Amino acid sequence: MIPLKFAASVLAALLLLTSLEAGAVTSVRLRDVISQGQGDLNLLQASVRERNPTPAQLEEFRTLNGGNLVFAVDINEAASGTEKSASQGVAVDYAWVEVTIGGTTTRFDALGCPDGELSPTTKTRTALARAGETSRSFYCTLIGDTGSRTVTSSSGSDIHLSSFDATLRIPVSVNLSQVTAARLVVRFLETNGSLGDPEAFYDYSNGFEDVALVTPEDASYLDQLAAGRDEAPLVIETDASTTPSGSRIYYPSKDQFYVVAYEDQFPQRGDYDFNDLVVGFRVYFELDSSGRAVGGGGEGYLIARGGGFDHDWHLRLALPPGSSGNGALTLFGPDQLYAASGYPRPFTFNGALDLEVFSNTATLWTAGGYQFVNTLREQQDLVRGHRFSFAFRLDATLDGASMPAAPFDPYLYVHNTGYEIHLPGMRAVLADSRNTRDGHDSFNDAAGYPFGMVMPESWEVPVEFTDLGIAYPDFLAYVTGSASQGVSWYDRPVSGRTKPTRPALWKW
Amino acid sequence: MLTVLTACGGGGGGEGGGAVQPPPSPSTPASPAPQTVPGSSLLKDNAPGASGRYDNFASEQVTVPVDRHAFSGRRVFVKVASPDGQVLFLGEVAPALPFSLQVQVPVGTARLAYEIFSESSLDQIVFGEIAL
Repeated sequence: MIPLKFAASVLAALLLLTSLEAGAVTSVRLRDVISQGQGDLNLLQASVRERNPTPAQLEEFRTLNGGNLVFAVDINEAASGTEKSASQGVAVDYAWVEVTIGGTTTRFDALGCPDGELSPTTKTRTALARAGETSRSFYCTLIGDTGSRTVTSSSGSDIHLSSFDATLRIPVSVNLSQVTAARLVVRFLETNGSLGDPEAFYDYSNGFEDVALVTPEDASYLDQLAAGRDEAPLVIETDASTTPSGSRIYYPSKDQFYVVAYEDQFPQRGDYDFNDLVVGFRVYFELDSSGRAVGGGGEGYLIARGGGFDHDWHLRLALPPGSSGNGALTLFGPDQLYAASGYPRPFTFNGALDLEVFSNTATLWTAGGYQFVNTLREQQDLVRGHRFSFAFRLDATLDGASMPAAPFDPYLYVHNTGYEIHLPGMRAVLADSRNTRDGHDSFNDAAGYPFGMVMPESWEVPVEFTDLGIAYPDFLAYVTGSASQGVSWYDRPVSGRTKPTRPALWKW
Repeated sequence: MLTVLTACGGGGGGEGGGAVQPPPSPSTPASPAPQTVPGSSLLKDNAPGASGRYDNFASEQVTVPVDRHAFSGRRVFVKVASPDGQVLFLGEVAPALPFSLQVQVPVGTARLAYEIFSESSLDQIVFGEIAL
């Protein structure tokens, strides 16, 4: 007969062993944080006392991660430099783990992110100038966004429903099961922000950044999620198996947008308020070190809808015949950090990439109590619109001469009329539209005015029914070339004739 | 209700107008050109015709003289930016070769700034300008 106490002990040991084998340890948020760019974090104290890691659990984290302690960092830098909610970053100046075992303290430094490092500290790096310096060198970077995570290996993990972003890895070559003290020391790089990007993006503000000890499953999840990377500058992945060089050409620029505005009565002359639909968008191409395009992407926002017709807004990149690839389009509701239902939406393409970005705008985007959005004089509180982003990979690289010309082909399909509306010089492309059938293949009206026009983002939307020539008295002089000072006509609206649709309103 | 909705995009309304323009039917021809009204800045009172310019951006082919500079670093990068610091290109390029690319800038932009640099802290960033 086995004594009851002994049996219970055996059972407890078996349960513990089973739980260890099953990876029962779950990612845990630490109590301490990184603040003002530096942190000294006690690894034995969790944000919730009951979850304080034990020395045995610390050793389990290390063992499961192949001899490394891996940390997740919640990047919280949206208000700093050129960062935004969708993409934020910091650079690591230095980081180490310090452990005390049997009265002896040992420090384990992060390996950094030099060329050829097999166990780089982070998954990304970039070339940066330190504050006060005008030479750049590689630093490990941590990139993220403001979104929360919904899928992890375990709902018991502190990563679950959190906003952790990127991982930081430090090799620790001793058994931690007997540690009496363990801490992570980390310092973010103070960059020379006067140089603009990339330094302005990878600077740090006051933070603070939460940190978690993570399991391999959660680390892998975050690494594959690659939050915020698509829109960060000069992202050089430290995984040697990836080929992109981090090179990007931006249209019109990294942080600015084209604003395209339409008159939707085509082929009838409109009222020239150019606000029937207004969209901000930008596009980038990713290049290899030979200058050939390997892919690209973009993003944009609905800015105003002053037309009663129902539209689909397309963004078409006229990639050459024979080109092909795949990607994904994501749509976000106004101020929403989570993708709309049904997104990300994967796509493939052969030849031109034609994305139907905003479908049925009349029902997609409304402002309570108003017929239109952000165009009516009486609508005092302007509202934010939907946001989209997309990214794609080409199956074969393209040389610069084969890349589509900016500002590309942003066009409307008007459900009420069956017509497409493109920028002047473009051609109708939809097989089922009326343009070709009715012989309307010019996108200028009888007076010569376009039905769609692209402006810099500082342009403000005219108030409903306001002729563009009233809202912007210099426009006509620009069009006719009769006034040399008219080139920035869009920066001189008449007070009260436009809505204050400055980028600060519609970028979010 | 439908009438009001379609009016917003309808032709000839003018500011504060409520002029109603029905949606075009398949047989509706495009509107005729307006008569020019001297002294008016309204689009509806003027007809620039085919000579009007509506492009507010210009495409420019620019070349960065990477080949004129030697670096200690193995990897060479270029940044091209507008005068107000807007980044048009940022990335790695082939060392020792001029780097050309097509950018778009607002009409009237006279010059762009560039930087050439390497990953080596021994190499100072080379700053330069490109006249357009």
